[in-house]
Amino acid sequence: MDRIGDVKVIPLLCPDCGSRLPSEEEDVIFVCLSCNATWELVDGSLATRELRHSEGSGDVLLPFWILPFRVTTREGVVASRGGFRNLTGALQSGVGDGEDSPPRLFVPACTFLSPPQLVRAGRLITLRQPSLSFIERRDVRVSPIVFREDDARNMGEIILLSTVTEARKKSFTFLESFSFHPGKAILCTLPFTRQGAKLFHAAMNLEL
Amino acid sequence: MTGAMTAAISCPQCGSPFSFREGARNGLCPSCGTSLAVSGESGIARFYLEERLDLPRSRAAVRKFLATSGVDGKLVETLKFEKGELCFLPYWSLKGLAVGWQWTERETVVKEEVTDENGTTRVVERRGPREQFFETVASPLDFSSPAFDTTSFGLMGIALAGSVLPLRGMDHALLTRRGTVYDPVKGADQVRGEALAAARDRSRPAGVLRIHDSVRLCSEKLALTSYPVWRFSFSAGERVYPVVVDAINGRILKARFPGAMETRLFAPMLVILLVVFSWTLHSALGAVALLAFLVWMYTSHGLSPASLAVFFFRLTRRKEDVRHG
Repeated sequence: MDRIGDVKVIPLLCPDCGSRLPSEEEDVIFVCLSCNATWELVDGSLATRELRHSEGSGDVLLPFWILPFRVTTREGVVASRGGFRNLTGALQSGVGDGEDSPPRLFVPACTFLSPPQLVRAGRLITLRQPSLSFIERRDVRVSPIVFREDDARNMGEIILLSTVTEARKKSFTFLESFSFHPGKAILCTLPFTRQGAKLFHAAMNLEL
Repeated sequence: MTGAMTAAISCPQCGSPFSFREGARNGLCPSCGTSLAVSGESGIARFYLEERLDLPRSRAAVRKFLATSGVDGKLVETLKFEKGELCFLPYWSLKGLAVGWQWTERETVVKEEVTDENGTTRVVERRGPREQFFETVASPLDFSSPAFDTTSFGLMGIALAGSVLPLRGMDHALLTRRGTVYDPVKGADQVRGEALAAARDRSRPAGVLRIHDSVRLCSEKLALTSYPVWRFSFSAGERVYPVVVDAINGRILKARFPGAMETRLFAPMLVILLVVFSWTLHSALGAVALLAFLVWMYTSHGLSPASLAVFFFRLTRRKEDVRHG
């Protein structure tokens, strides 16, 4: 094996404006509070990363990865919301989104919950397929982003399978033929309102 | 390697030392307030643990160990230690989340009430139909594994003491001046595979007939830590004995040391008594006894003057070397 070099310490300063990037222990993506730029640490240097904010009221901005996807099963290829509806049997369609539009998977990018609850949160939002419109937000504090795009792809399969009917999941032949193909991910925040220990999204009628 | 280790390194902005929790990605400089990300080549942070025992103290630990292991006290006092070598042995540490699913087919047991001809009812268990289960795997992962073939060092795992000691940011140039730094033989992908296999095993229920699963790693934090050990040898008589000492807590990890002395009077005395006694009965019987001894001696030790001298006059000998670790 090649020699692995010494430890590197990288100061987290915004490459655009030079401000200190706020960070917590586990963060992998950092949002500059001065210029709103978003940065990801890649191979020891900060690279720009697009972060979108979805419209809605709420003071807690939870980051999610949105992955368009295609699924291959023994029943065929699922590449539309109509096909995804048949796969899950319980899909709610967002307003203004057609049956032919590509299905999207919502994968949490933060660890505000325990690992099983993260899967549950992703499942509930994916089943709702919310129609999102993005807005400009300034001076916002986003919950710590601890999962990279690759992590979202790895977590995507179980979130997708958790939306599928129980009968299909228990079928060996279905699982054997199941193949998940995620597309390019978008990082976005969804606004939630804190209600005691819970987080509530009014438009989706969703409690986490 | 579990527990709250902290790593001590210096801030590149102000030069102040700062520490952060092992397994964390970022820390905050307490002096200038700058957020700092800690990383390494290919995203692998590399640390080392500073040795707490120098060579004289390690040798003292060996003497103490030998004294309590039944080795002759006089021999322990006269041991001659050879030059020692400080070795840094690499360990992988992986933290993250294991996420995925597992499909299993399991045996089921059906309980039935059976009434016999006497009217006694009892419950019997019989094998039921096979059932299929789909379960989500989502659990935190905290895994460590040697990155080097440590069997020659007798080191099977990092001592508990390591978890309360501060880690230091790897400085290869500094460490190579102080000792031998071993590079990892095991690669990062192999460690990931081992960690995921451990996660799969943990979530595997009993009574499984068939399994199909897919478990992946998320939010991976991979680190390579070098652990210090002293390796040296000592001579006793004509022999040289190797020893490996944990440089953190002085534990003897691997050693070979001289066995205890034993006095052997029975065999030579028995031979002499038998031959003399046989001779007193009859000279022919004495000759037969002497011949029988010489045949036995020839087949087992040889009949050279040296082997006869050893048999009759070397009445003390050392038992076989004792191996530890």
